[in-house]
Amino acid sequence: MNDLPSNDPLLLSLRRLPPAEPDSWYDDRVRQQCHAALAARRRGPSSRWPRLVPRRFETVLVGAFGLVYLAAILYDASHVYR
Amino acid sequence: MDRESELALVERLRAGDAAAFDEVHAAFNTRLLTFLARLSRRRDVAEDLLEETWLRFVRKADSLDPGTTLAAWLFTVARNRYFSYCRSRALDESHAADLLALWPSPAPLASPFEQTAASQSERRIEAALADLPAAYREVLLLVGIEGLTPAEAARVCGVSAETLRQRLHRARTLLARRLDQHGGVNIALREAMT
Repeated sequence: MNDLPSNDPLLLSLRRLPPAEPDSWYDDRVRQQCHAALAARRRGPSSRWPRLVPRRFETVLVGAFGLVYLAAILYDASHVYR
Repeated sequence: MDRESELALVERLRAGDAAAFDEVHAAFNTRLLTFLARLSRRRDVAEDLLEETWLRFVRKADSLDPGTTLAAWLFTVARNRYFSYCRSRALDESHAADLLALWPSPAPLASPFEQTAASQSERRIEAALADLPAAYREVLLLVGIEGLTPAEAARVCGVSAETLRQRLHRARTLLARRLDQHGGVNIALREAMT
């Protein structure tokens, strides 16, 4: 319902209105910003890699301490009940 | 732009291709600026919102869905930027309301299009369009000027296709009424509308 036809005269009169004229200096500035953002994205994975290494190392270190701690508890417990 | 080349562009954008961005920019920049300028009725605001739209587009480029329809995506972001701007401005104005109550309020400015309209009938249409509530103005801009289908415009506005059709019909009726209020429409247009 209420579907306006594509040849509706009022809509056609709107379509004939002139478009805005972009400012070329302003557009160039925005385009340069966008190019810089795209370039930063392309560089993204390699620059993120060094941050991943210490994070993985941290996980291994915490896991190792946990295992040592658990082994020590088991060792003490075995002495108590011996 | 046919659908096949649009999908190829999306694929290149996902890979961060700057030349693909330039193609999209060339195809949509004027359309987005025109849409935002008529929606906001201010050239400076439209330019700021346009910049935000493009920057958001490149930030999200790598996560675009391979089947993205660029027109719908860009107009949705532009529209949402405009409504966030309205919300933040309303918040600012509510804080400043007490101070501004003592200040003489200037007459509302004409839209940038009204100031540069070539003919009398163009000026009347621009004035009537600028006078509509934003929800009605946006559907007329998307369907009437940008040529989006009602289904695409519904996706942009975040409403169902049925709601969009009803809104479009009401917007058209309201625009015709406003045209009469703005000193009447020219005879040719009046004849065409009846």
